[in-house]
Amino acid sequence: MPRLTFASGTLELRGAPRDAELPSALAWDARAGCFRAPASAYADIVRAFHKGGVDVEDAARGYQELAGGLRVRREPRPFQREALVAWRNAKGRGVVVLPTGAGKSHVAVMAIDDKRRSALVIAPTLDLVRQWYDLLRTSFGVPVGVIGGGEHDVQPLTVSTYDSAYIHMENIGARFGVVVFDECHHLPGETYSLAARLCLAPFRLGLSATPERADGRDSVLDELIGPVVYRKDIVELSGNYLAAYDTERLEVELSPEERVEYEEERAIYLEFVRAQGIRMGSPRGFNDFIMRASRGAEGRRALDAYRRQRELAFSAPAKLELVGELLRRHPGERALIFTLDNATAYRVSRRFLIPAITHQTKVKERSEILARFASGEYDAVVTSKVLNEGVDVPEASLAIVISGSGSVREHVQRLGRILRQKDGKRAVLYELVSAGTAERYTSERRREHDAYR
Amino acid sequence: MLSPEHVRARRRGGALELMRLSPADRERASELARDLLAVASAGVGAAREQVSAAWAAVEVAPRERKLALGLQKLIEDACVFTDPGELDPAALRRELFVAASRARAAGSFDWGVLVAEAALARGTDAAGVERALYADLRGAERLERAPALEPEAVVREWERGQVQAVLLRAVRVVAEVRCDSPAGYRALFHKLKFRRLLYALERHGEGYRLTIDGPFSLFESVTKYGLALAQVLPALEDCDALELTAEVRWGKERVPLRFTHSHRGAGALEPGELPEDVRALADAFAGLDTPWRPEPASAILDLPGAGLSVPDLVFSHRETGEEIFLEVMGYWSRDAVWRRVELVEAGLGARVLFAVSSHLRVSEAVLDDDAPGALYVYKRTMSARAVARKLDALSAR
Repeated sequence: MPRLTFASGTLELRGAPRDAELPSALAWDARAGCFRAPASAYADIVRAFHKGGVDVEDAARGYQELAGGLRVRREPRPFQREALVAWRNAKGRGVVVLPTGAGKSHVAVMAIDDKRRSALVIAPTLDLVRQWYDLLRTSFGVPVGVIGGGEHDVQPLTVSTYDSAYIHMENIGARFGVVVFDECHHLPGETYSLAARLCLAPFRLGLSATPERADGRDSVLDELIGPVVYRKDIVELSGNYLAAYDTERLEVELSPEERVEYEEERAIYLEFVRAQGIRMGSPRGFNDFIMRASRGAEGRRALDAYRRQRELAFSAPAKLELVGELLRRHPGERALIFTLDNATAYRVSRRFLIPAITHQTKVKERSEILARFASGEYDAVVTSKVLNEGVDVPEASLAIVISGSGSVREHVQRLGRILRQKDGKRAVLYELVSAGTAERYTSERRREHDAYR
Repeated sequence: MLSPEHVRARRRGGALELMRLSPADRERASELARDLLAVASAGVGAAREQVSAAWAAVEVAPRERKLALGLQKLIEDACVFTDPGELDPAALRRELFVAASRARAAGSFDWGVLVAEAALARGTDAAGVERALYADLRGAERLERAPALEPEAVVREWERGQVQAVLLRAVRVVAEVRCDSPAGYRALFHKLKFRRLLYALERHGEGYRLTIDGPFSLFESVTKYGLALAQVLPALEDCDALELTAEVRWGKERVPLRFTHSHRGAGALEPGELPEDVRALADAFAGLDTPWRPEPASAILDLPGAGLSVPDLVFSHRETGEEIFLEVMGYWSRDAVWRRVELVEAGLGARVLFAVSSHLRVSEAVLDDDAPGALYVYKRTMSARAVARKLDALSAR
């Protein structure tokens, strides 16, 4: 009898004659003397063999049925129930789009319970991994494995970062029947998408508030996970299921000395760009600038000037003064402070004695900081980018964006951090912008979303 | 290992070419390596970010910057950094941040007061508290030991690192290799198997051409196996001759380019030279009344999906011209012997005798009498007479 096995993220079929009629995903591999298919074709292959009445020994499937289901059952909100039904109707393959704070992870928990198969949840950051770990352990009451951040413990319920999933999927890709891709807009990248292809899980759920990508590769999600099966946006749920919120842009002035330095440095940078004929607005503009700047002393000076004028605008001392004022204006509220870079995050941390979470913060300390923040022992946390996505702190009601990129997604995600509903709270997001600098354009770009209108 | 951003290369048509060091460049590279090593030696006891700043201050011309960064990376990797272990920064942070939160809630936040209290409790001053607050970040690690490397060795490592860094972006490698000893091939195939790479093998001149990639490469050209391909480079360079062509996806745009690399290894053996025990066996056949005549073997017996055998000798029958291979397994690996048994059972086309030391505790009876392969278990040294009898028996099957 032909035998199907999982081998390094692919399926190998041995024992079938070379001229056998086989499912189209299987191709002859002369290097290994067997038929081979991507692991992601597992469900189609097994279904095709079954339909054709072909007996095959399935030694590929390495996942189990979960012994027990949910230990803690929570009444789903109507839209969560609708999302689960839509996913189930799509044969357990598809993407659910819900705004941050609406409870996407609960849809995933219900989906895992629905299929009762070993499940892997893949999330973009260690903070989210920690949060999923807590949620799965509480919901199912079983040990939960973690892959990433120095840990490698594989259990029937496991959480991994995208990075670790990409690295290890060729070893663990047979061990899960359900895969949940949290913040699945990360998946279509060239490397991460391979994690989905090297895995044989028949059931796949993608979660995102913002699945669209600037590079258009979100269309790949169809193949890697399945189509968008359910969608609700931030405006539809605001007030009922999300906290009501205000956003306010506050402008700060550079000091006269900073203004002079800003203009001088900006002039040096712009002169170089003009002289080199670089179009910074084009998709390759910034790369062109970096490449040409590395070729000579003049270029290096221009690069230094670019960095300095940006630093002056994005990390203006006046912004830090304003942070102090805003913290005083909202006593007793839990605040998340966002910066573009680690240096500013640590500067805020040192100045206001607020814990910082950056990629350098160890997992244990991150957990401790977030636990103390949730309990109220800490009234604020400052972070660069690592808390942009998904981290769940319902108590947070104040967001201060000191600096950020022009990404709409980043800005929407940051707003989402304070929108989880709790006791009728009203959230507020302050965006600090240096007046009369290029940061204004960055701010305008990132506010191009319904959530800010 | 260096990464692609450390590579000095240029695109020419569809090819990626490394910018090799001229003799003058090499001298300059050694000078740079010497300066960077000196910075490391002088920086023992300093924080990583201070040492990094000192490295960044080493004067280099713009065109040397990439070279300097690569050399610096190799030297930094060889440095030993440790945690400064000041005042338990995590505990200090916890205490200060909790106190600051309470003070803000009470409307009495005063940075100076809070830091002074923490300093007093620890017998230090405000500057000591500020210094210790994030003393456990990577940049604050102290350089404990600088590497004792010769500059020229760093430059040699940089040169191999350039090739490996290109291979990190490889989707497939074609390696034309020649090993003057079967042991060279065995080491190479062992490494390929260890890295879980797949290969297609074909004879090429006096050696072999291997097309190497990974299982998923059958469906899509992916750089997933780039790290494994880079890690295999030393084993490929251990061959006596290597001509390597890699398909790479280069730059941010992942442009498909061709990369070539040649290497002449200093093989452990001269061409045709045999290990001592094999040579002794071959010599003993000269004085034996047998139709079998031994020659050093140059074939690789490959059965895709089942494995391969790299024989040491090929015996030709004086009258019939029949050939039987001998692979000496020695006393190293019992697993390797079982893999050869499976190879024969899977249908290896050639007739092969595997010589196995009795230390491995394997019985000759594990292979059937009608199999095209056989085991010869010997006690201390191989006997030519016993081997000749085994060859006769294999020939009669």
